[in-house]
Amino acid sequence: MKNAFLHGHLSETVYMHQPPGFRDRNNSDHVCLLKKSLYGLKQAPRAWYQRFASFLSTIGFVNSKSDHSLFIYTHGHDTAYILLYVDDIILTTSSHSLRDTIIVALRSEFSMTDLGPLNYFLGVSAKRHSGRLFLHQSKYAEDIISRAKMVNCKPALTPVDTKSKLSATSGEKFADPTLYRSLAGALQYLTFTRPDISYAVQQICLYMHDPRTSHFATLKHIIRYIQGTKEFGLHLSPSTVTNLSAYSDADWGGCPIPIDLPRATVYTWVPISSPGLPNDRQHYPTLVQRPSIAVLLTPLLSPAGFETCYLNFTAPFQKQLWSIVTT
Amino acid sequence: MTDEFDDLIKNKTWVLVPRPPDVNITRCIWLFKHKYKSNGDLERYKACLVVNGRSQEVGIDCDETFSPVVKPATIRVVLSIAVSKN
Repeated sequence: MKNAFLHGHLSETVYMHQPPGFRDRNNSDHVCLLKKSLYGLKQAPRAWYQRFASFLSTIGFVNSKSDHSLFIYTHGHDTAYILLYVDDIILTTSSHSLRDTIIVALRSEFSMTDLGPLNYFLGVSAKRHSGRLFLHQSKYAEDIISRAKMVNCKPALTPVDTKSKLSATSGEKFADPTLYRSLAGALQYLTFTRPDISYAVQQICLYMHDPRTSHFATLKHIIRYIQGTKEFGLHLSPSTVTNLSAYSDADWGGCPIPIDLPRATVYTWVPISSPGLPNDRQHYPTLVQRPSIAVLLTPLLSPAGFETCYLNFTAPFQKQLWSIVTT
Repeated sequence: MTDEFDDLIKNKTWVLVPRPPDVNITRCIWLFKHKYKSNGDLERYKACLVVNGRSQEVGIDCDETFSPVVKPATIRVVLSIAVSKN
């Protein structure tokens, strides 16, 4: 999408000084009453979103209730999904002709470039091989390692030490909290295609507000693990789905921060595939960490000691997929 | 820079009105990006008119703000379905 933010219509009344160097000679004390959005306006992204969303609804797309950036089109056997990330758009359709129709419609309204088949999106690389899709962030992983100045570090075999839990208040304060936060945030984005580090990253993110040297050591441990596994990613493979199953592992009371944070640690992953896959860790079809599911599960857990809970939601795939996975 | 200004006019970005009393007027500036030719020489300065959002006041110049950012889980789900349906 070219100049996305200039497409938005403004609903609020906003006045702006005339641009420097282009004052109207006859009306030099006039001001500009904005009709369209401009870069830098606080409402520019929203104005653009509304413009795009209302255009999509005129060509038959429905906005998903669970994620406002997802638009769904269904008409008979034809299905199309549009994902919008500010000015980047992913379009996936059930047929080539439908794809062409939608692209033509979008082109008639906005000026945009078609980058062809998906291969790089938001720092995630997508590679196709024999009907499967492999998502990885190797380049991003390398960036994180060099930002941490650990290019020549020795790889670690595991992302986290299984024995000890981190303590919130013991140990010296880490000298550069900004570096800690920046690396922790970067690692969090890496969990997009790396579910194997999501527990470790969640643990270091608990201490963003007050990082200690021991927490930074744990963070570096994750980076050393990444060093040896840069090329890991997610394989998405075709499956014939009839059921959606959600699996959850809860560690009630295991959270080391005593009072001011929720005490349970609940992990949920929802494989979009046949049940029985959780042991097949190579496939990781889809991992979803959903606080809402945690909320749903928490009352079911026993408040004493450690508890592991596996629940099996069974839902008709098409209708309830979105409500469970992304509500 | 004239080109960019003409584009804004062509796009009907604003209308000129006499300055109303007692309203907030946001500031704007031109930003210049350096565009280089493939051999590294400077080709031109690309101008872009931007508004200083900090000179806006919430409730007066803008109400709600929102950024269309998609959740990672949604991307994985959609790609997963796309692969499944080939």
